[in-house]
Amino acid sequence: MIERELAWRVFAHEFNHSHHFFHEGDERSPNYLVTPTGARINRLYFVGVLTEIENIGVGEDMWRGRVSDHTGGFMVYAGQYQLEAAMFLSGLEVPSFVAVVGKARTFEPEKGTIYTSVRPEELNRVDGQVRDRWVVETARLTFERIWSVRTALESGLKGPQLVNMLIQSGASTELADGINRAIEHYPDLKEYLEILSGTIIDSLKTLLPDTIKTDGTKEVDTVIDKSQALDSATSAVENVPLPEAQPDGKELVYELLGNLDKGRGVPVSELTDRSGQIGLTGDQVDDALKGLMSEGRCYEPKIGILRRV
Amino acid sequence: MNEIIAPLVDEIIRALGTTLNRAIVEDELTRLLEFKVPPEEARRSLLKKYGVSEVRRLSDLQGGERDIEITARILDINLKVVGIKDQERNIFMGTMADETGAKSFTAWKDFGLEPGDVVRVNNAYIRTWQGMPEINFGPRSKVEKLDRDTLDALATADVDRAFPLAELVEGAAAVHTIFRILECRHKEITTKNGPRTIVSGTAADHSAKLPFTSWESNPTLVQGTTVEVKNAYIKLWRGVPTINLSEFSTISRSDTDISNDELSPLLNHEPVRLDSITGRDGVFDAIIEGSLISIRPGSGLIIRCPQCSRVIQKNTCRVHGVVEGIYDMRIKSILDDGTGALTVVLDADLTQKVTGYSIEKAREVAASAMNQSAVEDEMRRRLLGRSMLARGNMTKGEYGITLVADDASLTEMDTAAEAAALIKEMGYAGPVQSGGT
Repeated sequence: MIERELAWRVFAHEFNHSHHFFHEGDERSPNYLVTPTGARINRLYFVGVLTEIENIGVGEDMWRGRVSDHTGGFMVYAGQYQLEAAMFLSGLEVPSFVAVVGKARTFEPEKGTIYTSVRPEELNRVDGQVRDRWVVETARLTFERIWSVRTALESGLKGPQLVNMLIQSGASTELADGINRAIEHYPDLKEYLEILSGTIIDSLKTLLPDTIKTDGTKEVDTVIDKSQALDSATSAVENVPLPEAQPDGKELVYELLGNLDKGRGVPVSELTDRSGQIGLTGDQVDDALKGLMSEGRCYEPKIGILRRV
Repeated sequence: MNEIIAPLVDEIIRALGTTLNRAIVEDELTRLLEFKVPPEEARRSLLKKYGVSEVRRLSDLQGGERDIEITARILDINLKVVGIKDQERNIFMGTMADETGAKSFTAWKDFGLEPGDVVRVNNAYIRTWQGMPEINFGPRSKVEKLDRDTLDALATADVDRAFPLAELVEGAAAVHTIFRILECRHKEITTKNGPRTIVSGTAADHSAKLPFTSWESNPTLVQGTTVEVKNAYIKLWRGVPTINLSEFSTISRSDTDISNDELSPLLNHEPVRLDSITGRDGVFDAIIEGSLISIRPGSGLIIRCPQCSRVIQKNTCRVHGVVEGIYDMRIKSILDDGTGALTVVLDADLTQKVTGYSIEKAREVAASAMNQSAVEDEMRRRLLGRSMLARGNMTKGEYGITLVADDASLTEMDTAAEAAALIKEMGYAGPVQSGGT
């Protein structure tokens, strides 16, 4: 019996920070990408927003799509051997929510520079609920892995002893092996885990009830008051203003972006001008746009043009 | 010559014990070496001839081993009449245990064994029977009864430990376990020795739920009671480990009852994470939840042979030829929760429940697209990426891990509440609580 490779859940940020690819056994045995939290990825599953789609093939079709979550983008390539996926991608509108199951790939144009990408097996258009749920589930699983890696680092163990310890504390054999490899391979793991935790917390915050509604704000405040989240997810969280610090700038820009868009996006200059008319400074508009982009609520289809997702 | 054979002779004598005349060993060894048999082969030949078995413990026996020696206590033994080459023969089957574990055995002749006897068996061999190693001994084997106290100190420790249900695997013999009876019913069945009442039902403890069958009726087997059973055995039935109680098992009311609290994850029907069950042989009545990450070919609208129910193409069954096919629906999906993956199969009713398609509507869709697989494509479009809760028996087979669903439904999450809870949890350095493990 061949066991099916499970579909790992990782955020784009972590996927794109992974550069340890390995292959063991004969040529038919699978390749794995080891991420900083020890996910040992052959297959992965993610849901995000398609923000770019382009045929980059010369002579024959090779579709390249960028699927963004709140932390970054997955590059998805579909060529002649993924005909169904290529056809599906080429027919999609930007933006749309898409669910992707695929295999992890790496590309190393020169020594030391490694790009990760995904070769899709299954693709589907989904709705916001599916995306939001993926964010929550991926956050939960990633936090668990972060916790396991931290335990591993603190233990000071290495090799088989470390693997045994992790399995005893409830990790699967795949994860225990992945963490062992990650610790060997990634030098500044502790620092990276801090950054990743912060990014994930930011990502989760975008799922909280709309901050502009008063009842919603109250709820968010309670959550943030009660939680000591800011302690562990230090720097990244502090840089993002709390809702009351900037109650409307971002939402106003978001509103404007929607109103001004006649279907082809809005030039940044126009957006800045109109924001100026309602009393926002250029810096405030820049901050708002940065915030909206990192939350995955707007994107830049062409340089200097913005659209809502 | 003597320098070569002297150490070998010493070694053989040491292995065989003092029962053998040194001169005989020397003679035979010399003769073998005259035939240019390599010394190692000669040694082996003699050891084999004078019947030295390797001393083994029950827990490390593997199928295919021969000439082994074991010392064990007979836990139960019963006579079976079998027909071999048109002749009736009496064989004896039962369970024996040493300090490392218990195994089934078959004695191919009557050695006059009784439960409780401690025996040393020479020249036994191991056969794989129903996937588990089983000890066999017959006319060529030597069976010697030892003082019954010999194994006392040893045999009790691990064999007497009560195992949680989740650890019971196919083929386990002399099983000791404690469970609560969630439900049970008496059934009359016909055997070749006439009608007989058996009891079957569902057993549960904190770790798992398993079906059980008692081949004898017993007044202790009543719904709601916590029972302690000894000398049960585990067989796979329809791919799920099942506790079997025979006339040789003891069934008694347990001193302590298993409380509702201990069973709460099972009683509340909480889904379990896939990594907690995919390592097991089979799981009875599992409840799982995950994302539908693939809808396999062969899903959607299908046509079956009216006689054998095989899925057919173009109204031709490969056994029954041209037939009038019957329309049916099913979904073969891959459910993955990020910790494990398995195939979940939905029948027509459940397919309708999760997709909203009746067979009639599926036929309309297929007809208007002039393509049966249009239904499959449409279902894939509706389901891929969605989350599903499914309930049913999980089994392992050639095609991987499969759960045939008894019930299934698509689920939605209150993502705002879950996100808020997770942000809060992450405020602490500790692990994130994972539901249901």
